[in-house]
Amino acid sequence: MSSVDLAIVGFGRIGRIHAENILSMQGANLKIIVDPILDIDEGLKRRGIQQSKNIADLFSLQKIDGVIICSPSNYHVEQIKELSKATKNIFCEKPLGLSIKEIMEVKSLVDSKNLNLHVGFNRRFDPDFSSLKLSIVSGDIGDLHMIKIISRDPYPPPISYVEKSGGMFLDMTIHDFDMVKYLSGVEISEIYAKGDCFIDPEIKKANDIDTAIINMTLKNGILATINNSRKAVYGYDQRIEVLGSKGTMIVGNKLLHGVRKGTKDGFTSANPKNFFIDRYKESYQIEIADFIRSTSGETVDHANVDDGLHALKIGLAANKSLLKNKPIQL
Amino acid sequence: MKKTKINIGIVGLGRIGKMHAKNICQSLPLFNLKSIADPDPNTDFTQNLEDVVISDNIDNVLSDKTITAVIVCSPTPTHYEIIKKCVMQKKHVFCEKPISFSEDEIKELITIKNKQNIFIQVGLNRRFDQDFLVAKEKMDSRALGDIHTIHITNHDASIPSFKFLKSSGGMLFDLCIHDFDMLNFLTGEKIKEIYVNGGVFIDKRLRDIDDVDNAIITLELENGVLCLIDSSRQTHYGYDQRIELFGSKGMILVENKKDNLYSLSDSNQTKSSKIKHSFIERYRESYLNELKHFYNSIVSNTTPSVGPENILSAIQVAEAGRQSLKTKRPQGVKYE
Repeated sequence: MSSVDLAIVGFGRIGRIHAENILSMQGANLKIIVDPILDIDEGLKRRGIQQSKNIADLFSLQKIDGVIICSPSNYHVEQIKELSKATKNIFCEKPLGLSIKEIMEVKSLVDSKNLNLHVGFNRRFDPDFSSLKLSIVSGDIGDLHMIKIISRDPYPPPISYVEKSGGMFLDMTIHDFDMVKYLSGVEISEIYAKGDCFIDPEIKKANDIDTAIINMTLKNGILATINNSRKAVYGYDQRIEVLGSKGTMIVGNKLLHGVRKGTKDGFTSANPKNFFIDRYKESYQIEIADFIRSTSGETVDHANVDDGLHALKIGLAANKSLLKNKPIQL
Repeated sequence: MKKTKINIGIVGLGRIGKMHAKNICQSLPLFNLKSIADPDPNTDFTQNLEDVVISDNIDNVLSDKTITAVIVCSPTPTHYEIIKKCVMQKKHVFCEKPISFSEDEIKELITIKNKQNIFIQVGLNRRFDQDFLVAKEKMDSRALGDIHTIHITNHDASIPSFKFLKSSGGMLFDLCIHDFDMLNFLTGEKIKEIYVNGGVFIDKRLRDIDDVDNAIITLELENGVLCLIDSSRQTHYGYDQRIELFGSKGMILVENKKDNLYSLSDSNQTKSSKIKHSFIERYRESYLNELKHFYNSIVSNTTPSVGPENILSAIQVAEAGRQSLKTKRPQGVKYE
């Protein structure tokens, strides 16, 4: 396999994760990192990675095989359009865009330019969830009846982030909406979202919620639910259960360590891993490795523009449902 | 101190009636089981009972002046008439849920028992489950801080016969009624609003009688706490009974009980047992505890902690749930 040359656009927390993963992999060169508010990283500089505040520097490179977009969500679509002039292999973090119109523009671009667009729904690449999916598809529990997702963050993001995040459903729950589609292979057709602000009144001031219970039906009648909180004091709570005509499958939390302690006060075990960077570490490695393989022409499973569109549509419908306190059909 | 013995009768000797009879004879010596009435008593079962009058006529229980309390385990549609007769005969009543599907009948029974100064305890046994009681105690001591969400999982192991399903009042009235009551029991709050999303996956005939066999239910309590119930009629792996309480300071999980505690690991996998299969096995202690409570209420002359008022509220939630299932809209619960 010839080595592929990659660029990262947007160098925040998630951009750094992708950079580190690419640097640890064979067969890929991280050529350039572009971010308008970049602080030059001396370590990366020493490793010969160009860092620039100006995207023009990316375009002046002789060869770019793939771009990874990790900028704030409101820049995604604009940058996909622009960067598609440099390469047809684009990996974009979720959410793909913040409006349906925007994503439809991306969709027609994908079609007309034959773009290889991957959306960063990393949880699809988590080994537990991909095993779960495989077992569902293999019919281990017969026909699927119900999907139950518990998805709780350990602490809310800063208010400045909440204000521009598009709201909890588009920022956080969007992963869970995609997980429902990924596991079942079917889109959501109806959603009833109930939520409130229990954790921090500042979140309410920012016109958002921090707790939600979501009740859904899929196009083939399967029932699904998502239980969200922005703050579980015991850690990043990520569990999935599926029920089918022959039984159930359960994915529990990954714990900080495996030690169980028993004393006169009872037994204790470790809490779940702290946050997504720890819990989903492998998924970030696998999704980028797969993206790299696909830039060199291999076919890999990945979330595409239709998946990005589906998740956004459901997120917007959830917002509407919350506002009107009634189920929304899609 | 010598404890008073209470003479008791049982009306209805189906699965739960037999269980109560067995519990009393084997584990509750404070009750003296004197008389059982059932239109078709199972002789294999009754022949092992000593000194118990077995008959096919309820009047034989009612006319026995030495009997001070009756356990009603007959099919739900017969409860109302039987309870009324017992109360008029000044006998305390322990009745299996849901007493009646009619709010008016339950209200009438409340009026009569108050007038007659008689107790009616309702078999909402899960209130007496030790695990749920510990969870409630921890929650009440604010171990979780403010409660944000409550999630109840309530799945039967295997679907009952269609004949039973038809007479059960439907999944909301038969199965989920326990969950509606549990939310009230745990929090002390009433349910303000309910939305039921249901589906038929197991027995297609349920479609013809407007019932479902799987449901995800969203509820809001009067204090704003958000709740979720997921329920189905058939799991295969056992009776799935879990509660998750989530609050500002943490989470409480009440997990399932397994049939046994062994696990076997071989070169392929580690295998452990199914979870308890039926309500009788899973909630064994609660059935004993509820009757102990019934006994204590009678001898101390204090109203039992769970009565027709509680089942009335739960029925009102189930009724709003039925409307929600029909209209596909959240419904406010009407308590009148």
